[in-house]
Amino acid sequence: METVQNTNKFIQRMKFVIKDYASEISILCGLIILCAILSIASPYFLQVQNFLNIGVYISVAGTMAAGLTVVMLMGCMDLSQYSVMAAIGMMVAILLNNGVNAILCIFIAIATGACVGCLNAFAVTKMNIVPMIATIATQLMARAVAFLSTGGKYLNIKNAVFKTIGFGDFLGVPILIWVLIIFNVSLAFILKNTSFGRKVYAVGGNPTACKLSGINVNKMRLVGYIISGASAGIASILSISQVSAALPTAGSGQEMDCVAAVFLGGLSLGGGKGRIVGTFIGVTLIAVLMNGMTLLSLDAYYQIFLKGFVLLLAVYLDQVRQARNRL
Amino acid sequence: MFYIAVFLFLHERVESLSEFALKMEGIYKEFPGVVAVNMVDLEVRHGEVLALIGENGAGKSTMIKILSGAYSCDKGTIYVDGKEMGRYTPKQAIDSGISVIYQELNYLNYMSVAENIFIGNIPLKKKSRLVDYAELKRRSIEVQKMVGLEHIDPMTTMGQLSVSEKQLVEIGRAYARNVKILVMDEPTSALNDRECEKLFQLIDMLKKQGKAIIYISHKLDEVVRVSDRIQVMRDGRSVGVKNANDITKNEMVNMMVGRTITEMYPISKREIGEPLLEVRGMTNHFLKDVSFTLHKGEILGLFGLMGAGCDEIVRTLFGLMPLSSGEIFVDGKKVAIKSSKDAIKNGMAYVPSERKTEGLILMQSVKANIVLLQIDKLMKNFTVDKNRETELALEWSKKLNVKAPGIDTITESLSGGNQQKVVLAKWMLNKPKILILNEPTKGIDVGAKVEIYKLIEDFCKQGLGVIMVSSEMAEVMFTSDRVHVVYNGEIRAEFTKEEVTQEKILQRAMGE
Repeated sequence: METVQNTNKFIQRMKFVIKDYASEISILCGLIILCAILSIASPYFLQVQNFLNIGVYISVAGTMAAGLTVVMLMGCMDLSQYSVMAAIGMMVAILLNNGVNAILCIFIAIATGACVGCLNAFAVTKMNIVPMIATIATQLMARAVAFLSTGGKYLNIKNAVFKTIGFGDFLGVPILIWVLIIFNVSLAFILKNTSFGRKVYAVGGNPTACKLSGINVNKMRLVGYIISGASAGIASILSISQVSAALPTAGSGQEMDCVAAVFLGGLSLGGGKGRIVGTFIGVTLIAVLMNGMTLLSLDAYYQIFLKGFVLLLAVYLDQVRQARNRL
Repeated sequence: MFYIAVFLFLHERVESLSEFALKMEGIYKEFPGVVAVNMVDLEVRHGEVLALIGENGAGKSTMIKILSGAYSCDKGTIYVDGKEMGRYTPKQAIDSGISVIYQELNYLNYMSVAENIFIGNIPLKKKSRLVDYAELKRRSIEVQKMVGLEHIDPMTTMGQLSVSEKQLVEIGRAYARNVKILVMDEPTSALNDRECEKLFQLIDMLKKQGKAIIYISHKLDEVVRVSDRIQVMRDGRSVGVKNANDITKNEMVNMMVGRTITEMYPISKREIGEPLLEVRGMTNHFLKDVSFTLHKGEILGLFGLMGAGCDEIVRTLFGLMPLSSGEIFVDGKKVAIKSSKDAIKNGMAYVPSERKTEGLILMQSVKANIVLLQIDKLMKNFTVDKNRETELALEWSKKLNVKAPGIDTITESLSGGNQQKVVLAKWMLNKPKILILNEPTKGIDVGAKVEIYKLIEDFCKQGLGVIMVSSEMAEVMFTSDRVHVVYNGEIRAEFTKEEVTQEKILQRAMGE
């Protein structure tokens, strides 16, 4: 008798979980189908080395997308991340070439990212500029700084610490991926279990109600932008380590990748709903897609086209979900 | 050929002369958690004014929105001029002669009076298809004469007009669209006596032209003055239609409320304690020298017409609007309130008038909403103490009798009354001293209203002071221990429960 009840309870619990995670599960299904198609289409796809390649690509995008998720959960937007990443990368390379300690450089990179986050938050909360416009403006400015730092030239990096980050591994898994996983898991933990995380969801759900309940909405948004800026700082370290060079053009043309990933993962433009897990699956899906096209040696211009299409599809999915919620 | 044409013409005339301009039969509309309109019939004849009265949440607005095409009804049929309408859009409603003038006027602030009247139907020059301004002005003047606005230049921008003039422009717009059925929702809420009288004269004239008019109002005097028949709604049902000559105001009230005053407002005498909150000379860009005192266990009612300043008083008190001069004392100590956070720290709680947009996080659960203010205090070992969270939410949803399948239910799916109880639970959990209620029973069904009054009384018995803003006269009169009447950003009068009458309040609220 008791076991029957327990099974029933378990089934109910599972139903609840499936409903709760519906958007994550559906995007995961999409990812699996895509992988299945690619493994048939290309003999190279299912190889370990290929997965490591995908992982390395995700390490940069996935770190920033996690930071972006926090901002977007509060109904804001950050399009400046990739340019900020490039600018900070240039700065770190200059510092390294001038003999600054590598560990100190990493801290400076993260702190600079956080400062840019503050700037974004200032524009959004104090100057009341629409987040999308404000961060497009900082995106342009950061890109200009990246070019101005060397007049457009790239800089080589020959530092041992950075070499280890870029090419070393720990327990057989590249350090890049460790960084990605640790950052994602800790952010997911914070969002789920701390009062800060609860307030992030509350602010996204209804900023006015939060303000009336004594929550400092602007302060929350500031912290959100700091997190997304800092994630760009971390990503810059990963990015320059991967190629042993800092490029002022790094990430140009990829500015919308993270946004697409976040939408694919189940967040809505208004905020208040979604999880880091979803974003992570979204990033992976985009990475696999790009990887597959390279394996099938499709023209790079088609890849740009497809990215645009994925972005459209991702935001459309959000619209469909919202329309269904309204019924 | 000619005869056929004459026949058709006459036939159409006969049809349009069917006795009722509008007939709504068996209208039924359900929203998640509440039946808004339950099998209601409504009929208006040509050249007749039907008053539709009832308390807030009785279903009047839902009926009107169904008529205007904004909602479609779940069951029921609508006939205009004897013709069945089927499902229709707001545009189709306008085309078939139905016009609604809402309490919140709908106009284009930066466009001219003439353009506002003829919006969607602006005359164009034959050849060039450009706007024919000469014709537009000529036609606008014609309509303006109709509604008594001939003294205004048709090219004046709408924003420069007074509220009553704007309203007349809206009536003009309906007229220009050849309205057959005109609905007015609380048209006098922002008008003074003289402007009201002008409006009534206009209504009489429209009536003579054979227009059917549905008139919605809370003010029973003007209902008697203006209407031929009166239909009363309560709890989503129609509870009777009477000729305006055959019904007294008392009968109307009894039909609207459906229960005696002590059943409706179960608030008994309490012990009023020492002063809890004192406001002295509160002034800002909207308020002028507002002073009042709230005692422990007391319910202080604030009443004012739309835009009078009640909302601003409580919002300033709660730190949501800046205070340019004046002092606030809590428990005899002077406090500085610059934000809602300061207000909360000083023991205040604020239940806003817009439950859905300001009170709740609709996409979140009952639990998340109830513990929102406590979330920082619930942190233990770097994580939220989930057991304690559940405990608190269960305890308080039970205390306030929130009817929901569980505390994990999303608040969006609850009825208005239960949503309001969740908002109250959130605040009461924070143990406030001063509870500020802004329209606490707006859009809530009568049963839940009574429950909420009971809760408010309980809170008062525990020593809380309650400030209640309400636009419902009966609510203010029968729940408050004292009533302050607000007009133009000032407190104009103060009445005790014994002194207060509807006439006194209204007079002062109109600024007389």
